[in-house]
Amino acid sequence: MSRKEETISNVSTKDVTEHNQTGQMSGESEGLYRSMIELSPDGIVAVDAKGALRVYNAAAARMTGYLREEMIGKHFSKLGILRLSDMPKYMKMFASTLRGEIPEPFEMTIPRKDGATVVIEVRVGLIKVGGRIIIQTVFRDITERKQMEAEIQARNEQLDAQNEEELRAANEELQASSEELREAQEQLIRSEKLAVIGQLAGGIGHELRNPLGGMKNAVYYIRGKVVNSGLALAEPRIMEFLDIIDNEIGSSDKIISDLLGFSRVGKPAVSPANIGKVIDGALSRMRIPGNIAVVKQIDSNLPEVPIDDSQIHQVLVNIITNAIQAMPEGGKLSISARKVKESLEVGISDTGYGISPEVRDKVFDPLFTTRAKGIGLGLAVCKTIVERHGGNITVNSKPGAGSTFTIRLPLKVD
Amino acid sequence: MVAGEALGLLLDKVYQDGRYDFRGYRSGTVVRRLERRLYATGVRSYQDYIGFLEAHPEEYARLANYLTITVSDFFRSRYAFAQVARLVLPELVSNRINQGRLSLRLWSAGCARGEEPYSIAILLAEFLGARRQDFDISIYATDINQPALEAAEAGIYSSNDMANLPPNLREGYFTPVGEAYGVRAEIKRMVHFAYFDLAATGGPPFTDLDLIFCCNVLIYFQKQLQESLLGRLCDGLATPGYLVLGEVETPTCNLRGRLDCLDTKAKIYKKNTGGDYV
Repeated sequence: MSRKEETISNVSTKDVTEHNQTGQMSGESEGLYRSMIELSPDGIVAVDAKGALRVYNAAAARMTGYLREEMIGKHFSKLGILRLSDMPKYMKMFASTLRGEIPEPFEMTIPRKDGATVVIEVRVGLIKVGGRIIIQTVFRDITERKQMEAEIQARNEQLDAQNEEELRAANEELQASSEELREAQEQLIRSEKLAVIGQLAGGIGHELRNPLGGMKNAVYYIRGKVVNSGLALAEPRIMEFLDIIDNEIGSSDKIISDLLGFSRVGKPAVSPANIGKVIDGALSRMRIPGNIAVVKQIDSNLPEVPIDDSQIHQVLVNIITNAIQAMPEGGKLSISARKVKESLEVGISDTGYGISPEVRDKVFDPLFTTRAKGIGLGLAVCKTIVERHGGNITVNSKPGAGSTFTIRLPLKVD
Repeated sequence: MVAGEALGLLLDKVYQDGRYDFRGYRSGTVVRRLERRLYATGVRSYQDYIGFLEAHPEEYARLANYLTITVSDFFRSRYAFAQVARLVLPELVSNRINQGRLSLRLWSAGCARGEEPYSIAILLAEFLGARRQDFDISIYATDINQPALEAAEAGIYSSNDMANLPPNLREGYFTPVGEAYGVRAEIKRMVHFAYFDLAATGGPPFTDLDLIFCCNVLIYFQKQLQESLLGRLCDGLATPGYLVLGEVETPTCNLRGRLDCLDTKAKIYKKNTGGDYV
């Protein structure tokens, strides 16, 4: 029992507990007790042993909004401020208090008459006088304190949670950007490798062109002297060998052109172009075997695309050459162009060998090749060119069923 | 101009012209995330950024997506889900069986990339077992972040995203898609995704709901917006209906009396019938 309740029970007299029907108390001490209760800033209500309300002070009326006249005499279970669902608990508390067990102070929420709610801290005490007892309840409005406590606590916890979530999001972004960084780094290594190869290739290519030129002239001279001579008639394979030398010089020259082309992939000189015309241009430059059917599907009304048409021409020639070489037994070469979102997509498909998955990841790497002839620069050059246009190139393939190369070029230059 | 004033002007602009309302958000996260948008767009001040928005209206959506944080996990709060299965679902399901109305309506408010609504669907599937076929289950899942919603709808998650999910649930309710996992159709069928801005005023978009999950949304809101959102969530609930909040979230005092707390740690609340004072 709290000290305050002791004090109140000390001043209680026999008169205090003698109530009449309207809850008025009589006797000398009434004035003292009444004024103490009335002046108390805490709400004070008291019920008799039957549970009927006998005391109800001004502070209680202020806190609940209910007037004394509305409350006095009512049973505590019918005051309109206790939840039905909580009633068993209060009944139990009432009974145990009557037996002399003073409950611990507790908090509860009660509805005000105007519909608002008030949180109160409640202390219950027992006053015994001359065999009669009343249960006195002293309560204090702690709504604001609770609200503030709860708000401060909630706010702190929520700020922590907010920071944690934000941190996690930032961390995810960081991971994504370090992934990007890693890719960029790989790209850099790749392009550095390309640059070194390019320089080397340019130098060597240039140096080899002159001796090749000399050899070509020599073969021309020998051919002129030998053709229609007795030697040619006696040794027909001489002419055959000369042809072989000539062809090999031609393919060496092609390799050198590739190397030089590779070392010279410059910044694209972009201007709006009609992709259909560029595709037709590339096709017209190539000798397509009779056993290969060409199917074109160029969407009408395609917008012009900002490209360096000679570079894209080179890309198309390279990829179409590969496609043709993949179909020595013939097949179908399909070329499509369409607009997909903000890009132009050119697809080149063949029905040839296809590319195995292990090889597929490397086809764009410089110096990677599966052919006996060829140095593995063609697709590396294509990738470099397309990427310098701000686009990308990918390959899809099913071994045995053919491959599709897809070139995406942005329709707007950043 | 005072920094707070410039921020206010910017958020007003975003609301007026971009139709995204961040005015009721707490400023901490908003300011930090905004700074990064400023940096990304190369402008130096809020005023300049207003100019940038005018010149590039597509930036509104980008900003809105960037300001909303979409981190989540499957069964993010294991305890809360366990308690929902213990305290909420038995009563909800037996009530429905008794009423002979075998339908459940749920809402995942602020569903980010779909981890939460799918977790709810999996929880229901686990709880109902064979009886699931008898129930008509609708889980509405809304968010303001469009890319997150698209990802949610696709329902494909990396093994990293699934780290929190017990392996038996992963095997039971997902199928491998390359190196990732896709939510199975039977789970997907229960969940309906839609765009909805929880900060927008007006009534709740769904009513007569049995259970609402609104986790880690309130933490971004100022008190006033918390109050109004919670009020609308409460209006959307059936009676009785249940509300699950995030670990550190509590109903604001305007809801005192409308919600009974079933578990203070799991933050599960039950909308009471009200007016049972005697």
